[in-house]
Amino acid sequence: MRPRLSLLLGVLLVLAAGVGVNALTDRTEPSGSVSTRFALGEDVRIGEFQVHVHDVRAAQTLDDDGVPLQTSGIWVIVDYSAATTREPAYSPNLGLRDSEGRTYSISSRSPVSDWRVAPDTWTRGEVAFEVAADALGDLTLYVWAYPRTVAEDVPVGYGVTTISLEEISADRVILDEPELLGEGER
Amino acid sequence: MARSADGGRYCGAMSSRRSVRTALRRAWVWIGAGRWRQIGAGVVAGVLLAPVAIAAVGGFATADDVQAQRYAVGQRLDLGQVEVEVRSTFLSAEVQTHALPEEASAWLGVVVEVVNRGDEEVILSRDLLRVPGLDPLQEHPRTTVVVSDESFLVTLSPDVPHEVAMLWPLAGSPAAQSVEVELYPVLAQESMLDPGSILWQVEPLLGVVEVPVTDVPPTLVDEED
Repeated sequence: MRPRLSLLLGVLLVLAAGVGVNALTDRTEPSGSVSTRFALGEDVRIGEFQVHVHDVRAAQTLDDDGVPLQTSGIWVIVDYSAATTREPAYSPNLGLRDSEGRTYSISSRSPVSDWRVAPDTWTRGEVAFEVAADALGDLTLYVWAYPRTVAEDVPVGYGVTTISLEEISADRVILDEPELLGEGER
Repeated sequence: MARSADGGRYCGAMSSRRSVRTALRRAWVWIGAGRWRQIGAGVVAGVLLAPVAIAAVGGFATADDVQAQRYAVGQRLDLGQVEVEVRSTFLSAEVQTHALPEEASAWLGVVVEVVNRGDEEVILSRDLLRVPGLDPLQEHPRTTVVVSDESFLVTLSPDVPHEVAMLWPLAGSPAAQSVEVELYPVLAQESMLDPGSILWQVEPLLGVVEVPVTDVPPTLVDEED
């Protein structure tokens, strides 16, 4: 009898430990929405990043070192500044989602795509998204502190704002190269 | 044994036939004695008889040559990851001259329109088209450039069509009038190891397009220094 009781006790201990760990992680891990809403023109902290989105605009043609970059869609240009809080890193991942649910990353054709950012040292620049010709209207801009595949699979913080964009610039737009800002500048 | 040793040839044959029959009877009794033995014997018999059954219905006959489906130039085709419209081809050493490998003498360019009809951007697969007829130095295109401005196309946004040239390096300088472009669908599969992430699976040949060789799009020709 005694060996059987010991075996049963061992099994019960393992089950109890499992229930305990589950209860603990339920209380300690974040769940549900962890988005931070922000507005254009204000600082927002997302994970290890500090971000300030100045403006979002649309254009039909970009200029890449004198060569016109045309698209059958529309270029959406995001003008933003970024810094980190603790360690140097590359600028955060940005994403756009249109009202149809189509999601866009910074275009691999964008003359500027990312840059190095440092703790409390702000750098400002512009990046371009290539979106469908009928995508303008209400767009959602995401700022992901991690690569998107990570950010949408597990509950980690991200920033989000809504933009209304209708007007398309007829001018050929040159993206602003990343520029290191002085103290207090955005 | 004693009888066969001192008996005639007839007696020996009779004896061996009898012993075979006896052995078979014993085996039959042994097999029939247990359920698992019966099942095992059935499996062995099935395996041995399967080739006979396959041969009986003509399964080992030589298959007819599979004729690839032919599609027209300019026809829009759904290749899974993207829709593709093959438009023209060119042979030239005057485009992307800095990227032409040393051992190559020219590019084969296949001009296509590609459009991603999904909701998410995709990295354009290098498996969609092949051109084995011109024996390129590599099976997949070395690079893909946008025809209007020579920018490199890596990712495709949803619903933004692009006219691109896929470039294969060639060792010789073939004077081809047309090129057979093979089309391979590329379909999304969910990764079993990493749930939520997508793997792109290349499917068997869908068909071919016979594309005439024409002039290089002027926007792709490098300016002379």
